[in-house]
Amino acid sequence: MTKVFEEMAALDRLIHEPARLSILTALSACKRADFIFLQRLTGLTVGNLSGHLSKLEEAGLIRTEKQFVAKRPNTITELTNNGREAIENHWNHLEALHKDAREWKLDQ
Amino acid sequence: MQYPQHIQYLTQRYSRLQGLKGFPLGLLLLLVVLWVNFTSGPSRNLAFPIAFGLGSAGLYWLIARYYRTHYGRVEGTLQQKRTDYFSSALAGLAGLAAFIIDISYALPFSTVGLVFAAGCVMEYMRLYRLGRSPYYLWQMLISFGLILTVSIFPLLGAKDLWLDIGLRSHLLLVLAVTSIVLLITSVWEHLNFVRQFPFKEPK
Repeated sequence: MTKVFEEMAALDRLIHEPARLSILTALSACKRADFIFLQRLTGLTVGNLSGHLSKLEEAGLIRTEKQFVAKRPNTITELTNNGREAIENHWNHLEALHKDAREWKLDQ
Repeated sequence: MQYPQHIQYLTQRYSRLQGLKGFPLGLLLLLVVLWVNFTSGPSRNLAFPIAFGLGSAGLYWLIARYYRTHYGRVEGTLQQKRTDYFSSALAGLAGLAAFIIDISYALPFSTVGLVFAAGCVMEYMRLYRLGRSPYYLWQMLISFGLILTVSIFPLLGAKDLWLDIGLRSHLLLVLAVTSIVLLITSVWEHLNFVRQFPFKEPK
């Protein structure tokens, strides 16, 4: 069981935060998406979503591009190669943990 | 947080799930059917179908703008785009071939109707099945059943039924029913699309 705890502790907290995990998961299923879509998906306020996107951009997981839609500023977001690899590894890690936890027995 | 499968499902099919985008096509089809039914001969004024086409294109533009400003934009991967183009082209060719068969031969069923009915099932399998929503399943079953039944009316013994309701041919009846199905399902799909989001419009 110690191994599972160690593996859980090793999860990347930058990615594992629910809002950021939702954002990265969505971006991994498309080429790119805009701010309004991510806001609809996560239910975050403009300030919160901007904060999460900034953190992800600083970590080099996403790149953003500012545009105007109907005279309003809008941010287009897409995963970088690092980001795509990171989110894929993260989900694989979570699935492995889930599998380990299900297979765990009391005498281990 | 929503389930990751749901997030991926929504993201991958985002544009296709925006149901109201099908409304202008249904409206255009219905108007053209009515125009063909109530006009005849060389005196037909082509200004009407052209106006219908332009009006539908304008309506589509407005609906697409509404989705873009209220629900945002997702650009699919190259592979997703290719699949969409391929399936649209295939559906268009099948529809055209069926239309040519229907106007060339006097068959006891409508090939166009059968293609539309098959299209309902294909669309469900490709787009909606993974959404695991019973609403989409019912929508597919009702649309499929309705269009299929109307398509094989002559086989069921309901010959010339369309004349009783003022339509000149079986093909026009099939197209009219299909257009009404398209109009209703577009609104239905929009309501389902909106239901997919747990949050109201962000401030």
